[in-house]
Amino acid sequence: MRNLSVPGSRLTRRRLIETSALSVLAVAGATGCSAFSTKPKSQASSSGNGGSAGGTASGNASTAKEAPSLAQQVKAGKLPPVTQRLPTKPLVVTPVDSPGVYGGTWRMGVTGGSGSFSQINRFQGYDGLMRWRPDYSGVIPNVAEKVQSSKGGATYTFSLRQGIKWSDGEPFNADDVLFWYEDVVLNKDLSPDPPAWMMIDNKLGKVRKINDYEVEFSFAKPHGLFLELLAEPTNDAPVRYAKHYLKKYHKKYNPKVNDLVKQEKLTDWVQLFQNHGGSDDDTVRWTVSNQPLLYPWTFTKAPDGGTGKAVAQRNPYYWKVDTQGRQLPYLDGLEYSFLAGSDTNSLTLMALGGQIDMEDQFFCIPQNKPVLADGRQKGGFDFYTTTPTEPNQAVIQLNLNHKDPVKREIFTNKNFRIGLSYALNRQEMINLVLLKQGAPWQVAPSKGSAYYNEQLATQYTEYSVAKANSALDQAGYKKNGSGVRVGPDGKPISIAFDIDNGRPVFVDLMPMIKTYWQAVGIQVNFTAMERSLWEERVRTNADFDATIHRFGGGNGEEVVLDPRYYFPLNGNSVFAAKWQAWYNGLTGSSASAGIEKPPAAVHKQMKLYDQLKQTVNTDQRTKLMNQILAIAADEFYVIGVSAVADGYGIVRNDFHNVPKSMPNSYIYPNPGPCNPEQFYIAS
Amino acid sequence: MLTYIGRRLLYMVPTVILISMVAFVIIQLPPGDYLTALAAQLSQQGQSLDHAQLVTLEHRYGLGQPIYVQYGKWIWAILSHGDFGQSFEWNRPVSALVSQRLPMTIVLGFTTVIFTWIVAFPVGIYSAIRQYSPGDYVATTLTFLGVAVPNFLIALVLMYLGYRFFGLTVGGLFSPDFENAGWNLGKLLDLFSHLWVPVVVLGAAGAAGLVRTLRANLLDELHMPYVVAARARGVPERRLLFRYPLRVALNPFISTIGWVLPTLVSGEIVVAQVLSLPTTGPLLLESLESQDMYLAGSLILIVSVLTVVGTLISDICLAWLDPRVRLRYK
Repeated sequence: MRNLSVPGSRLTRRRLIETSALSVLAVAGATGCSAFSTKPKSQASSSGNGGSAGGTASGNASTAKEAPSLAQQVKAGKLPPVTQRLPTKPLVVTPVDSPGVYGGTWRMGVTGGSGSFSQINRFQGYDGLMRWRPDYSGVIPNVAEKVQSSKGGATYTFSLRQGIKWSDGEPFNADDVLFWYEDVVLNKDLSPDPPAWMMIDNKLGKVRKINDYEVEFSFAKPHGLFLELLAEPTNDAPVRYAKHYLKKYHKKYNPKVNDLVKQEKLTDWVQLFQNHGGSDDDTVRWTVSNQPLLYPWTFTKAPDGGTGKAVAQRNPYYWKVDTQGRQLPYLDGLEYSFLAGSDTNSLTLMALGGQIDMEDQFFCIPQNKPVLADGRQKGGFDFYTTTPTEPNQAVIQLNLNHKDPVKREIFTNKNFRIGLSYALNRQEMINLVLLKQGAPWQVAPSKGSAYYNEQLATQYTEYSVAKANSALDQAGYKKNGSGVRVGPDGKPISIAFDIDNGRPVFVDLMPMIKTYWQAVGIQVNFTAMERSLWEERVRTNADFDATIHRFGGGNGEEVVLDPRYYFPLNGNSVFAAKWQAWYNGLTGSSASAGIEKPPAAVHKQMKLYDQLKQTVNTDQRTKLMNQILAIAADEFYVIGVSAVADGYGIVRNDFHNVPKSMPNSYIYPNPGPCNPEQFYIAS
Repeated sequence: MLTYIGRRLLYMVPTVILISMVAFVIIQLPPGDYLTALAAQLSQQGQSLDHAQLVTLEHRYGLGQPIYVQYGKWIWAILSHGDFGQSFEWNRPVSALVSQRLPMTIVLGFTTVIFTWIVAFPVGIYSAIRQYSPGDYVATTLTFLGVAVPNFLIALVLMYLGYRFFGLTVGGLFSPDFENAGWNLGKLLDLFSHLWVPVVVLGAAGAAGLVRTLRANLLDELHMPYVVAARARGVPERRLLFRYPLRVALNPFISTIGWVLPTLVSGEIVVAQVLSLPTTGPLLLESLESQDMYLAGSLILIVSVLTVVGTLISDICLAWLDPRVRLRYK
């Protein structure tokens, strides 16, 4: 038996290590409270977590002007009374359904690492000078009480809400806006390049303080879209840099800033400033806890390392009230579960288990809808509708600026693109790949939009092999003996698609496109590749034949703000990289795909858009945009597949004041513009 | 024995240096850099990175320098004061990120190994000495399934069953209520109620493989002439088994000790990803995806050092256990 003891003792040793590791944990646990009998119980009924808090508070909260937790702090003398915390004229928010009760935590789940931090803007970070109306019909003043434009839109004067305070109680005023402009935007170390939305005609606007509560933004030329741009997420920068807090990390205000840099083991003061929240970049600024901000909730435990929980708690100085004059937000806080990786299965299970109160991102994809619909009853939640603002579900783009002159000649031939469009059996694609959601549609504004253009939306969407063949014949590319069309160089025409493999829908569409186009004599092959490689090949170097992508504006003001598929607007218009580089005056590495002056029609669109950007009058702007769209319809740059179908979000039955339907995009960072501060939990 | 260990130690140094270089270069091989990856992710969510922000970030992370300069700085900081650099993605020191996840990873790794051995050892012996018995057929069927079914599939099935029949959310290692709570008995119990899923999933394939190896090795030995001779001399069956053939058949157990250490860190990345475990595996995968080069490089360096050390340990154990290995180097 002696030899048996060899493996035996080895096992014991392993076991010993394990038990000792666990006993260490147990000892560590002994320091915590020993009231563990309640906690395992809450595991069985975890769904009651958020709801019960709201329920208990409801008794006294319906008349109280502030949250019970804050009232207690006022009583204890830790906080000034609510009347002193609110500005003289607080912003009044009308609740969607009913006035709420205080308390409760909004639980959400997030996947995708720090690249997903920008999604936090949607939930707790949407409070700029201006904001979108909940129905996306235009902008309204927010931190600004009112705004006046003069000099035909070259000057904007903002009156700030008097007595408004940062979340730490320090007053907010024009000096903070000036700090952002003079010490952040104009500081070359912090901002090597100024933000694009502050520029018109490639010149940076100026900011001037009129008095403590009035600031003036002035531009060299009229900046027609300025107020709309200010309502976009992250463009709340002018009201996000708290001078009293950030100045000790700024070289100009703190001569001893290098001591702090050394203390935190950083390389320079720029990093120090950014690490404390002085950054426009979401991956950087959302890792900061306890930063003074103007948001309804601020992080007390910011996301770190991508797993575990992040917790945001109410801002006791939030400057909005409901129609009864009760301070918002109703909810005590937000709790994000950060899950590793980009897989959404765990999130879906959390939602099914009732552990997500309200959310419409990440796991709310069409594929998950059946399983979520089945689990509604058990999980105690229901759906609300989100209406996408995109012009199409899949935008097929040929590279109109191809490096190969032969391919370029073929792709820029409009009849060729018309033929390809006729050859697509869109209804079949919708039925098989898009889960029967949608309708044949080109890349165009939706029907209800003020920018709807019937020609742009519906031309060449009919499925007709005969029309396809005649258009391709007209294009001048005849079939050879084996039924393959040959290009001007006498060789068969073939199109190679580069597809981002992170988009399974596009990958699934490709075999169908291949079949349709081969039926009319065009050879197609495709490569699904890793996203960074796709980005590098398609966006950075424009070294591709064709690709499929989405996004862009198709509804509301987004048509004007993001017309990437209607003409070569910016780097997102990958179908014409060289033309957009010319339009944006790019140089050096920013124009790695090359620069080229566009043809007359494109040039005209660019001129019209320049004019539009400098137009303040909305009717005038609509007219200009419609002209641009009319040219887009004639030019037919890109081929669409299907109009967008409604999306969905889930909301627990005890979570209230969520609109039945809301737009879904990033420019309109839903649910942000629907005022999450008036959401409440009550059973 | 000492020369054997000494020589092994000497080989380790250039191996680790080479690995660190290769790792650093390979991480940078994919097109683009951290910023391209970030821009790609944002564009997938329908946003685009403002040119101004790109320039600011490029400046912040010093991404313009040539690769050998970046490598030199990185390796020097590690050697001189154990600084693994900053993670771009998380804006925190790599060491903080790794140490945050390491304890849970080690607990999971050790539990899995114990589970594997507890299962594999008796089952392997049984199915070898009772070859072609009904028990052996059952064990063989199960182990073939265990080897053949991918781990992540088992994980998905368990997740579904857990939700469907027990109302459990099996993702992660803690229930939501305990995630941020301090350590107490409740949290410990909660950990165990979640830990069994990844342990079973991760252990399944390992145990199945070990059972197969142990069975095959033992079967080879059981019919050797020396076993027959010993049996003829009247050595009791059990004593005979444990003293001779099993000892020889143990080698695969010992060799796997070397693999335990690196899997503690890199683990079963796919399983951890599917189950959303807060271990170092998903951290490594994400850092590779986002080209967060210092985090990825450091993790790979740590894993390779552990692999080299683990191999050394299992070699020493083997030499200690098996005279044939030891005497070859005398």
